[in-house]
Amino acid sequence: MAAGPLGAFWNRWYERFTRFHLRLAAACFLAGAVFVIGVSQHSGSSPSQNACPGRPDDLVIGTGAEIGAGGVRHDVIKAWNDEQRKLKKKPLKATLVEISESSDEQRSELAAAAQSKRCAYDVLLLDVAYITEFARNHYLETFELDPKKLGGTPERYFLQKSLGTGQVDGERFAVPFAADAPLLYRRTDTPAPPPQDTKKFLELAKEHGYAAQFDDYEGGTVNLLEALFSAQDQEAQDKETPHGPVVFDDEGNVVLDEGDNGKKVMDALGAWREALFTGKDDERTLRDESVLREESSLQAFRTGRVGYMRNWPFAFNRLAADPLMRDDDGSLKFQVLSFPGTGVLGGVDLAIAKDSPHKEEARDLIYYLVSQDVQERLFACAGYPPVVAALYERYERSGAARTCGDLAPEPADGAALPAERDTEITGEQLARFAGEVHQAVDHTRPRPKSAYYATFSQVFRSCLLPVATTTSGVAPDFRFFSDALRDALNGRLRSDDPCHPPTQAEPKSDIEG
Amino acid sequence: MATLVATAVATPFSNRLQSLIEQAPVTPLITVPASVGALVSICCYPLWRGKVRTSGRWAAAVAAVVLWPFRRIQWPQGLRSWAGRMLVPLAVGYIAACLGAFTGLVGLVVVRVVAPPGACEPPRELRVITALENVTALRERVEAYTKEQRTDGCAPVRIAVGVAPTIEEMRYGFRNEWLRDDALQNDEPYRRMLGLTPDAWIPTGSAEFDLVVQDVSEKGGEKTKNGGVPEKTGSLNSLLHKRNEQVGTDHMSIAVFGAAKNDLLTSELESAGYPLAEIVQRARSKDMSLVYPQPAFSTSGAIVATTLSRAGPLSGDTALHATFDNSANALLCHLRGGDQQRTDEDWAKLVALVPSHSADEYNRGRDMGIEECAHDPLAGRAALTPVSSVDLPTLDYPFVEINWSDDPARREALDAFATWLAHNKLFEPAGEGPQPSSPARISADAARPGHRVDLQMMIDGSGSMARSPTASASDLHDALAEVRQILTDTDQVSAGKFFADDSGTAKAPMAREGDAGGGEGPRGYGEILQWIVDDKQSGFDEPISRVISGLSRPANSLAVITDGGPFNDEPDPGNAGRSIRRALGRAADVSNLYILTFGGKCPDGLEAPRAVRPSAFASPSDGPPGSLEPAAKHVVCDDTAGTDVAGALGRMIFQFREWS
Repeated sequence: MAAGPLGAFWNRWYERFTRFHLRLAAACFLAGAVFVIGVSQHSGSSPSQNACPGRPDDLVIGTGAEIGAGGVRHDVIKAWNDEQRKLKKKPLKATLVEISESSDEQRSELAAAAQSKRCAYDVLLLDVAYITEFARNHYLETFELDPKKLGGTPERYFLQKSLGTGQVDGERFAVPFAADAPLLYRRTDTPAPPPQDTKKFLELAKEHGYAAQFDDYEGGTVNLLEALFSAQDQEAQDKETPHGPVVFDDEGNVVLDEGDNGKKVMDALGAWREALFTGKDDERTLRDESVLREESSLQAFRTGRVGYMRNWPFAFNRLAADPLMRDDDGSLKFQVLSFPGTGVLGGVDLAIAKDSPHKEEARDLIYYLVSQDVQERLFACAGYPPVVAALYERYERSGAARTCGDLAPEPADGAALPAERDTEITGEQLARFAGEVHQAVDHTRPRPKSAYYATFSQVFRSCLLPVATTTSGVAPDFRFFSDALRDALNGRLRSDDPCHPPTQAEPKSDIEG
Repeated sequence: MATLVATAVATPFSNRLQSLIEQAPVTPLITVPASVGALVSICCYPLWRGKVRTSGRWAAAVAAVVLWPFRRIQWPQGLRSWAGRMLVPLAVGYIAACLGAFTGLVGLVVVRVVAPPGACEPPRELRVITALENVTALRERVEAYTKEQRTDGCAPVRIAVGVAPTIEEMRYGFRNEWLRDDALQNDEPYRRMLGLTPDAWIPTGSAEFDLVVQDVSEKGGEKTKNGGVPEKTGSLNSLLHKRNEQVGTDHMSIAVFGAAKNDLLTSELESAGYPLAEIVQRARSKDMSLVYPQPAFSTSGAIVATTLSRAGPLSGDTALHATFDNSANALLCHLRGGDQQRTDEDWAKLVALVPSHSADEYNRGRDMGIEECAHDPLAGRAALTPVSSVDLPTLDYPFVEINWSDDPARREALDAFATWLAHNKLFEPAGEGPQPSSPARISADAARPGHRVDLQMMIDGSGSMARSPTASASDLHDALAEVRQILTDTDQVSAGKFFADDSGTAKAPMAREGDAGGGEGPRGYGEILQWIVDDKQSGFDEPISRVISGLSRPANSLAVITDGGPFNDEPDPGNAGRSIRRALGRAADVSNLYILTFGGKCPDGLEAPRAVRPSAFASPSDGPPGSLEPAAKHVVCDDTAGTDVAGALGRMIFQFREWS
């Protein structure tokens, strides 16, 4: 010990220090460390909040605007409210709040509402692309499906692929509401025949014109993924051998830099580019119809600028009700086919907001919205592809399809006159449509499950869209690009260019021709 | 060298370390040990007084001063003896716990810094709205800001940019949870928002902000909707907070196409600062039109309208036209849309009154925030030359925060963005030409629609129309509810359906606003909308010419909304346009006919409405040679609405106002 007064002080303390003090010190040391770690971990999670000041006592459903569906969703909600009034003394009134037509704005609005914990919504109608984000960020309540309420196991009740969209990290957060898968629309008043496979389709598309959505938005990513998935499946079909993933595997891990996947990507996009361009060699120019969006594609197809169109099922009802798309005898001037290749799974799911004060009622409403009757009405009257497997079986069965007219409530006596039959969708047309949608859903793959899908989509598109839609796009360095995509799946954007080409003598790829 | 190596090694971790320190629970880590220490010291001081002697002289001195207020406490002897025994264990425990806490903290830092990075924390969602013509610039700034704010590639905020609704819609929306003023929300199971609920709003000028926050009660107190539900009215002071700094500076400009540049922008006018009166006079002498966006839809249009009205009568204003466009960018996009058909002479007839940055954006190309408007950079006859005028005002762009909820983190994020934006402005003054100095003003009247409309809407009641995917009764109801904003109290509106029954007899049930006085029928717009949805009568196509002839109490302006089927039932379907024109010519009370077609195509012989009608262009009412109707009657047919029913109805109403 040190000499002097200080030394004497410590000496005295040391003398009084016993084994008990040692144990006490160890225990307190541990307690201090555990306390800090505990506080640190706890500070990351948001405190629960049950109070919803100023919140109207409604069951609020946050959703996008319903375009061209004739207000069937409103009717369905109205029917629910009527039913609740009969069943309960003080029922909660369900109210749809239509946020915006833009999917991005809907996402932003719902996410901001969840962060602010204003209990703005009870039920969310969410695009399947955002389910993972909302689930992982704790914006959604878990939802255990009750087989009793469904009348069977969820696996039998729902379409398998759609059911998977609500599952995140082993837990269910959302219930499928509407299925979605790409379809091929073909004009029957042009000599554009139905394609047999992807390869043949690309030849026909070049010849007869094809409205695709390779514009710089999320739809562009979907079209690119479909081009790659389709080429991959076509190759497997040609070689009759199983194939590995090219872009990402089943767990969502990026595999673009494995094996010769980079070359496969460039080959596939090169083949699609051929179909999207017109002319030969140096004279080639990108068709305007190749870089459209959903709505502009519909107009291009409707006005006969193209023989084929890739679009979602919503387009069927829009076209079928258009007198321009009907022959004099009332038959359709177009045919719907499942996408000639592998599509990207779309759809809309229902979920309960974490901060909802009416979780039980929300659950009941969701079961109502996915019931067979409601799903059938939404399909027959507004073209929402159902998520209930039994409905497809019924519609595909000969003569069992019911039209919107069959499902509509009986009018008051003498209130209605016989309606024209010229643009009504017949049971047969609905049955054929249901069959193609069913097949299309079966031939889809989901987007990668990430809370940062939008970031992934942005990086993915930024490098590969020029390859498909320009003659000057070069192959990126796939190792670097893959790392950038992995970062993007975690929400990270690199400051350097993720698309830079390989630095050394590697060939520029064959995209020039 | 060692420093360099250390820096290189530490750099990848520095951002994560910084982030960790920022996120660390600093408050409990400091306050809990400090509080415990202080409590122990305070309690023990009276017990150990006198026990610390020479060795802790300084400590004792400090403790004596700090704990002086507790000096008089005399604990019982037994307790003092017990405390004497506890003194060492307490001190040991406290020091050990502090050491443990410190070690835990260091351990956490080391683990987090060294461990590979996982997913980013979810960014804070912010929503900012502004006028359509500012959206592109704001999105560029948002991207730059987000990029700058990234830590280790992770963005702390995600800012969605939306288009601000009209002034009138905002006046209602800010007071009513950002919901649209749909007439029928009383028992309807849906409500519609005005797009993104904004956390911040960037008005085009302070005048726009002033007009929106203007106390509603000053203008007549509580309004009541048709359904009888009172709207929330009153002050927005607690909701909207306008910051002092501007995030952009611009001015309204006279934008002249290349083809007309030399005709209008003379050196004499330039030296005089391009006075508006002389510009208008010269434009008139050159048979030019000065066009600006619709004031009821566009703030910049309202600013132009206010400026013109304050300038007094400009020797007749035949050269001035407000178009239907909802923004300056939409107006310029519209003008460019006719590029292929326009001759040099046509280009030379148009002059736009728009914000200077809109003209620059137009010349630069790209889409100007409008999907269908993508174009290459422009030069030559189609390029614009914007010049400032001493009579046109400046535009300041304030940043307005909106406190829907008391969320400090959100407010902090907004403050940071606003401060950054004030230093990286959306628009900077060009510094050329005459510098306008007067701030923009907007009169409430300018932001509202103009001439009174006596409108009768006849809706196709055929079965095909009832099943129309875009214009069913439900869609029309929603769209009409939306356009109610642009109808004034003085407008007269009625609606009816037209169809033929199975015996071929024409039917035209009607719902008329103002019929309540007679004791029967609907009492207002809301009931008309409800009638449109509820009336289940439908039948077969009825020719429009027969409808016009058969109306018992026709209004001055007749709107026909159809899916195009009735054109095929005209007496001579190949000349449907001519039949309709003849019928209109015979109808003494109907002056204006606007046919809105969803799905089908307009027949030959009916002109499409024009968004811009400079005097050099043919007027829509000018029929083909030999047509029979009087020149004073107007008739157009629009089949380009697509799915935008509300937009089409809005354009139609403004067309009627122009004709009325």
